[in-house]
Amino acid sequence: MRQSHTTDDAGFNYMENSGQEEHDRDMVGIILAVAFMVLTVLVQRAGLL
Amino acid sequence: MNIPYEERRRSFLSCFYSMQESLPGLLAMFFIALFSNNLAGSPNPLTLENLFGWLDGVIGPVNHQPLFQILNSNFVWNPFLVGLIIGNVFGVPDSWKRGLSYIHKLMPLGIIMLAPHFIFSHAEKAGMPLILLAFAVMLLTSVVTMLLGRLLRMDDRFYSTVAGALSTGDPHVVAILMPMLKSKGGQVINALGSILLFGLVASFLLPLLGHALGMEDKAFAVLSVFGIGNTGQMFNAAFGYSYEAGHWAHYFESVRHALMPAGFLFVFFVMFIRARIYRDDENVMATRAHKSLPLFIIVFIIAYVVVQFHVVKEPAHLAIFELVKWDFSLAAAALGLSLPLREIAQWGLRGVVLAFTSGIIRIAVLVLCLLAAAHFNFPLF
Repeated sequence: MRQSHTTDDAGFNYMENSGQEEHDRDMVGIILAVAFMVLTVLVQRAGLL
Repeated sequence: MNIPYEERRRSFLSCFYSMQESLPGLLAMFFIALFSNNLAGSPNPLTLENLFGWLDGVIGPVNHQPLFQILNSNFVWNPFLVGLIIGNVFGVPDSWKRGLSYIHKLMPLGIIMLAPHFIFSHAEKAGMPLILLAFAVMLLTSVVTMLLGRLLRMDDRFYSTVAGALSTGDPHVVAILMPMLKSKGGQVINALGSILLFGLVASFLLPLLGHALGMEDKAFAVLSVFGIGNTGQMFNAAFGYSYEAGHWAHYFESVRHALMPAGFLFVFFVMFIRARIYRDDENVMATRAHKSLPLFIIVFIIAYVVVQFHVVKEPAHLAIFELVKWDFSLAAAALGLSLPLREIAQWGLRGVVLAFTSGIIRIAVLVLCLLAAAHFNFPLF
């Protein structure tokens, strides 16, 4: 049954997370998290924070 | 017709979709977050956080605590609540759904950025005997909760979510465990509500038990922090006992904080190994969807180890935590929008039964340990 809160009329369910799509989403999250943390530390070490 | 992701994928950046597809959902998350919490860089004073703060001022403190802190209002709970109300009253337009799927990028992002928040050396001041007791009680609570969940014939994603959040003493660990255990949104929120209800009841009844047993202030503070947790609720219990116990609860809180990652990682690895052992058992659902150990968990563990060497000093840690607040505010908005109320209710009251049973067992074990330490003059703290 279509879950109207999460699934659009084309069948895309935004709470579904699996396969290659999940892998890519994880990768984006990991890259951004590491980038934010490294950037913040570097900014502080440079005396800008 | 939904085109499968693999067919439209050009690189890993394809999961951002097009701007036209994702912008409406992103804006929905953004404005829910903006009107829920006081977030860094946002000058908006019309937030739910400020409304609760104003109501706290009208109601007045309860055991020196703002009432909405006792109810555990925070940067996850507020946008979740707003999203839940909007989703259930107005529904969720189809045009938002691609953008709302960014929740799956925000979850690993937020979990990894939480690493600098858990510094073990902050707990050292409490002394190794207390740290070891807290660690043992946390693992025991996890194991007891998972065993009781099995006895109650609950879905394993549900009881393991309760186990992680109850044992760590932070109900919002349910959000961290969601992508790890692959729990359903309804299970996550049902578990959160069950643990908050247990904490609320326990925080008012525990002082009565403490007085009946004649516990000293310091021992009662330990009982509040590790028997209830949930920040506002443990302070409600401790300050409800005595002002001195409340202050000691602030002192011991750092131990609960430092041990938290060990608690939710323990639950994850137990369920992950279990799912590998019982591959063919269709009742084993938690972590089953992970083909291998998720990379974001490995990165979190590495970050957790690295930050123990004080790589992320203040105020860099505070700056990162402000990003975490933004991140979880956006993600919680999407989670709230995704849930019809019936999906939370469908998991029934077993979560409440589990949280209360395990919670009472944990309090009983702690009371016995604290009374024994007092009786034998063991220097626990």
